[in-house]
Amino acid sequence: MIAWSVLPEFLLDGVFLGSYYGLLALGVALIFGVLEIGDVAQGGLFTVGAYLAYSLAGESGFNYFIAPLLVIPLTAGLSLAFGLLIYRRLRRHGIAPTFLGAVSLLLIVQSIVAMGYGERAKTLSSPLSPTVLKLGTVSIYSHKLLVIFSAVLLALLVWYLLRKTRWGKAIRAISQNREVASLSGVNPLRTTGIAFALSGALAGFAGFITAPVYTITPFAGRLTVLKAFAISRIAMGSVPAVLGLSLLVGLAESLTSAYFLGELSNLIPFLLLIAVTLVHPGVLGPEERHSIRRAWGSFIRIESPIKARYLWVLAAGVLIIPVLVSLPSYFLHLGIVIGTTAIGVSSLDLLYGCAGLPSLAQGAFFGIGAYTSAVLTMNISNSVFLALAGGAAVAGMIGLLVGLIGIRTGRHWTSFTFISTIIFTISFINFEVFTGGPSGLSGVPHLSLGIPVTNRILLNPFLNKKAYYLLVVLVLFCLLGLKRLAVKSWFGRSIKAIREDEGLARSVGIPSGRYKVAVFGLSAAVAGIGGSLYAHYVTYLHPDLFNFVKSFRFLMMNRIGGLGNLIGPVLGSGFVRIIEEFTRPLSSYLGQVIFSGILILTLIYFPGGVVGFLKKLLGRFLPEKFVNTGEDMAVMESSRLEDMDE
Amino acid sequence: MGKIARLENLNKHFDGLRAVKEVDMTIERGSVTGLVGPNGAGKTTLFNLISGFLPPSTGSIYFEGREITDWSVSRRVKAGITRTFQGSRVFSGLSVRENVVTGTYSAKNREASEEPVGDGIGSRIDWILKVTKLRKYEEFLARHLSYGYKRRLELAIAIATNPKLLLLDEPFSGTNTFDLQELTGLIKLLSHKGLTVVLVEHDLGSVASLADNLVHMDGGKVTIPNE
Repeated sequence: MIAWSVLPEFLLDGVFLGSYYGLLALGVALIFGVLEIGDVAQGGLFTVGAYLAYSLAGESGFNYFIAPLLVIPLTAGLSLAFGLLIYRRLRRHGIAPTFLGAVSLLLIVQSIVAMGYGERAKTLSSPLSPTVLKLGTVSIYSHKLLVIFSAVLLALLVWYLLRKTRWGKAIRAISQNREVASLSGVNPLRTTGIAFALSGALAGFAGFITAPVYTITPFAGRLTVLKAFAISRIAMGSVPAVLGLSLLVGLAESLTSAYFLGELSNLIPFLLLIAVTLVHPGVLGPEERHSIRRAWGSFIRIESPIKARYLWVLAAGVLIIPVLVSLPSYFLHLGIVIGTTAIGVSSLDLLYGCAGLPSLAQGAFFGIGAYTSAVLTMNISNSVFLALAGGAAVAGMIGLLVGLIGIRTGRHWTSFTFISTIIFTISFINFEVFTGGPSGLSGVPHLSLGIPVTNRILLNPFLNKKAYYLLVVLVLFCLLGLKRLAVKSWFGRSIKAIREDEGLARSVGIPSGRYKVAVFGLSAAVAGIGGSLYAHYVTYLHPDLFNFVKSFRFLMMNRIGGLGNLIGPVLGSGFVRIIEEFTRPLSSYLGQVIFSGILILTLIYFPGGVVGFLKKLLGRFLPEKFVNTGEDMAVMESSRLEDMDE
Repeated sequence: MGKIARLENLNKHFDGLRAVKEVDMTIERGSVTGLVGPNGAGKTTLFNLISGFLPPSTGSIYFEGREITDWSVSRRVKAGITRTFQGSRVFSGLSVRENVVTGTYSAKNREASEEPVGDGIGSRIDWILKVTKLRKYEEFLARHLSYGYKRRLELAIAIATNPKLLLLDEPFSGTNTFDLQELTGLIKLLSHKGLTVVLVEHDLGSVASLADNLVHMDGGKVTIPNE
């Protein structure tokens, strides 16, 4: 039943959405133009703008119309600081580290806001009166009209800046070709700075001006900036295209959410982006003709400091302690949580440390495994074999599918996995049949050593923590053992070759595309197993547990722990989790801030992570026969991205 | 001896730039063909077409009597076509030995590589390392090799694929006289064992000492075909 009479309202609403999407998308496009990075941290600046509106105009009684004079320079300045202090340093390490840095900054900013203002939503009332205008039969919040109006003004201003002023022309020149532009006298550093400042101004203003429309939460800007990112990429950076597309997306969203899809309308820009990527892989960035390896940036594949055989024994000894000795159940709890996380991080390491393909989708596969396992055990049988196999199989198959699309994206693979995760999160929220929707899925049953078909229960040992801990440790050991076998096999050898030089690998007959898809599917399956074990421990699942923050945390733990070896993921998981436990009493967001910051530092200064550090330490004290003396494969290579503007 | 490969009316254009124009060529089995011409003549593009890294715009490619125009790169390598790249490309992060082992990827090579080659010099991989004089650097990481040795390694990897047709893209560029002699000797050795070689090279001296015939390309067209 379509109510045509309200159509004009939805159209107007669509224009409103398109307006502020356009502002954000413009800013993101500017930065992508000058630095080839998707600066999702602009979402954090959007949040800052919104909260400043609340603090200044709401709490302190500032005049709403004057407040931008304070807000805009602040967000512009922040953006400038991010660009010059952080992105510049990250960029020489490659595209993936830079993108990860952007995500880190987004999380840091929003977490700090959450720590300062608290999680609860705030509201700000619009300074306009009357609040609602009636134009004929249509009523609309007058503030939305203000948003549209100011967006149009700003868009014209930006267009004028880019077309007619020297600075704007410099930005456009740099976007075309950085080297040539600098030869013509354009100062890349200053121009990049201007682009960042302008972008920050737009984002902050967008947050500020929309604050009275929606409730203000610390995480509001996230989805919006991602939509802006998708829009700016499809439009490939041309200003009219970005604005036009934003408008179209806004309209599409408004109309479909009203008439057909509800919340799923959020998927539109992302599905569109994936669709365009299939046709034109270059949409996520300029195409790479040379060795793709160089785009992944520097990472150090560290061999664990202690020789493998001693390590297995040592690890088994340490991990078996909680089973033999009676420890407070808190330790078992920590052990289980670290263990399941470690499985997830190990799955990422297969992609990142071994294949050189950093992925931000592992959290989603973890979630797919969790949900699959929950649904299977709730409906068929709570056999542990069914749960793990089901989780692995479904996650693995979906992983293969996603991988097939992903290999077309070349060096912008990481951004692609990021977008996939967004799509999955939105899907989790909306496919209520399987996932229980926004209210979550509770009552996930405990596992038992049963046989699925006959439903004969052999043992029901998993009701106590010790048994569950043992299960997790056993599965982790098995998976790590399999991982080691895989790495040493021809499969691992081929993956290594692809990582080193994909073109060369192909020239000796290795079908690189197929291998990349295979390893992606494999790591998705492993993540699915981790998710399954997680689900049956926490017994309550919610889509927010498996969003990109989860994926990002895996990545964080992997890098902090150390890439490309067996214990790095475990150490990373342990390290992060334990410190978070200590900082939680202060604020649940403090840990996030700390670790996002540590990640940025690790990306720039300590590529070896904890394992690298341990290696130096232990190398001095342990006798030779225990230590790996092989050289670490430091791929500290910068590609042509390196020629920055010193 | 018969033809091992044939190119028929091969064309390749990139958005208006015609890189390869109406190329007809036959390659005799066991021959060494020198492919010469100025930079930008389309020689590397031709290699990309033959090896499958690029699809042709029009035209066909035949190898050992079969049409391979639509074949993937890995299928062509399995069939026996191997190419090298301009600038020495090796797997920097792997050891020299691992580099060569990786080269034996195509299944039939994997079995053969571990078999002894008869006269007591160990497996095929050992033979390759010996003949390219890389034995003493076996455990070194490839990135630590000097330029001349990287070029040897590049050749070693190519040999490891057990090719029937070897396309070498400027294998001698940047090498000193000593390396040049050794590399040239190596290619002569392989040619005597029956390998068909097509060689792009600017150093006409080495081309002259190696090649049975010459093909000259300019502006995408073959201007002096081999007869």
